Amino acid sequence: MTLAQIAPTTNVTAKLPHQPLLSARGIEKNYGGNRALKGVSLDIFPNEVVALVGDNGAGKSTFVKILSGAETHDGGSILVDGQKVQMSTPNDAHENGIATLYQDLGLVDCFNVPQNVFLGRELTGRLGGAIPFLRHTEMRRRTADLLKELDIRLPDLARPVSTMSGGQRQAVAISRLLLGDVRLIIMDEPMAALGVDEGQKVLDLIARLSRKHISFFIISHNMEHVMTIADRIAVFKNGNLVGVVRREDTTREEITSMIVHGRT
Amino acid sequence: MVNTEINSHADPSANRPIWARTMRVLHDVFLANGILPFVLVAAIIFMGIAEPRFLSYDNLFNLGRHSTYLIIISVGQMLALLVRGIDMSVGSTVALVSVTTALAITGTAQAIPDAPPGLAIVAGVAAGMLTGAVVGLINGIGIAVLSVSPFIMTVGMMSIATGVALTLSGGMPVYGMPREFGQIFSNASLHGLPVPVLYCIAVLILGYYMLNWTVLGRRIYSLGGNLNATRLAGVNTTFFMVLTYVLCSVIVAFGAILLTARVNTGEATLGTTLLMESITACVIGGVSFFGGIGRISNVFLGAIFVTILTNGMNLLRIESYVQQIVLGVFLIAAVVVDQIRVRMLRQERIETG
Ligand SMILES: Nc1ncnc2c1ncn2[C@@H]1O[C@H](COP(=O)(O)OP(=O)(O)O)[C@@H](O)[C@H]1O
Ligand SMILES: [Mg+2]
Repeated sequence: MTLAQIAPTTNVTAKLPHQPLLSARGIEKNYGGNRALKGVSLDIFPNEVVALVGDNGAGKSTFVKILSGAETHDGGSILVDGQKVQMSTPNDAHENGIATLYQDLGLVDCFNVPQNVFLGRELTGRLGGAIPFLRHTEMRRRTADLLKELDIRLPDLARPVSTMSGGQRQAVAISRLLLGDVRLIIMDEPMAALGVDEGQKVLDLIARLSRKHISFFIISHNMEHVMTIADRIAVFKNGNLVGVVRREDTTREEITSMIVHGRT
Repeated sequence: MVNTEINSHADPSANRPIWARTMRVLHDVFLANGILPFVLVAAIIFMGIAEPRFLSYDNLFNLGRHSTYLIIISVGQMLALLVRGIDMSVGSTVALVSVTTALAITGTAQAIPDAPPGLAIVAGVAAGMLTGAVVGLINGIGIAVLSVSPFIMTVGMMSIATGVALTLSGGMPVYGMPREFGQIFSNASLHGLPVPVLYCIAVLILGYYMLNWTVLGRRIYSLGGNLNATRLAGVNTTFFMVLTYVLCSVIVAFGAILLTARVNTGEATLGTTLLMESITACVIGGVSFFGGIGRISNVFLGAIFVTILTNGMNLLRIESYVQQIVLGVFLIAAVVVDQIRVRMLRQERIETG
């Protein structure tokens, strides 16, 4: 069976509720005189995978940073569940159930899997009601449960992630994001640094997670990945949204033409 | 069906010859603990053969007692190394704390002539610990807030602390400690255990608890492991970095108070060898210069090793300047081996990944 067959094959429109999870309305961003985003509007619905493609400098990373609270915007607004929200820090995004996978993954190399998954939100208890201590066993157990739920298999959770392959590390980084109440995961070129096999495994993980009611917004250069994984594909050119097409309704050639010529 | 098994590997060592398996075990011990277990065993065997007195009860007792100061200072140094820093000022912090502690004790005794010695001792210990906290706070602020490199910041502090210690003491030892001070922090013993050993055990237990069982410990390791990832995880990294340096210097200050009690004077020249020795103890104990890696149990053994080395060389009547050469060679060798070890760990990752 190929990955394309595993990916959701249901009718995309039937799957899309009316209320978008996240709406960007007329987002503008200027870097000095450089208009990186010229008023971009895009909706991301629950349970869908949206891919973002476009040439270098099209504004993809800038847009994604604005949605994840890592960058401010100069115009437009962001809505979550139809409500206008402030998205000025990564914490704002996190409170709205939006998590971002950073390029360097945000892992501590010398930490093992549970230590990374629980980084910054360690579970503590109190011995005899007084002495605080880390609940190592509980964190290990919950990590194992989480990975099991996500169908992620790792050789040994107790090993530092520095001893793991790129794809395994990516899986740890993604499961880290899923510890909280996450509804949308944003990724900027998640497969760029991975080999073919590793990239495939991450694609597979994304496909599985998208069936567990998590939306993805993924920047990718790899047209094959995009055509495999995405429900819809958004194309940027020169800070504008060229268009959004459903994967079933399009071809690689059409997408490439949109990227190059900037029209549908 | 796509194989979702990301990695599984069978143990290939099952039916290898005994020497190959032994090598494998040694290899794993090396990757996990570094050079320490090897040099420690070698040092004990070598000393036991070269100088039978080394293994005498008296000498071992002496060695245990003597090692406590270095162990405590090394635990402080370890914290700085864990956050990917270094504390070049440990030795001069010891000197400064020794002087401020002694001056506070003698000052209190002079100001309130008929005060009980306990009051002067409390004042001295408070002054010493406070001195340590201030030194650590300045180091931490310089490093975490002003972004001065840890090496430069603490080298600067080394000069400042020594200068202040010499200024305060006028270059003279501070005499006049009450007898009780020496008793409480150096000479008394409990069930045959000298008090410095007990204090040292307490520092080790508290340090172990802090590093392995508290959120603070996780922060210290993650700051050194990946500062940026720790920040992205929502941690106030500046606060924890400063706190780590404060803890480092406070622990060093405690060691300094014990040393002051042992020599029974406040001395601006106390602790000059501790910088070299503490870094060597940590690095031989497997604390990585790259931050985030190191176990307190191995730092303890590393400090024991350094003490055995100096004690052994003393027994063998090796001149102190030759001892300096040996210590320097060990430090450099330990760093080189640390780098080889890090490379081997990466290699493991490629092979098994
Ligand atoms: N921090 C920045 N400062 C100034 N200009 C920037 C910055 N980040 C991006 N830009 C500019 O904004 C435009 C869009 O960049 P980016 O969003 O990185 O594009 P993409 O990810 O699609 O390649 C480019 O012209 C780029 O030079
Ligand atoms: Mg980009």
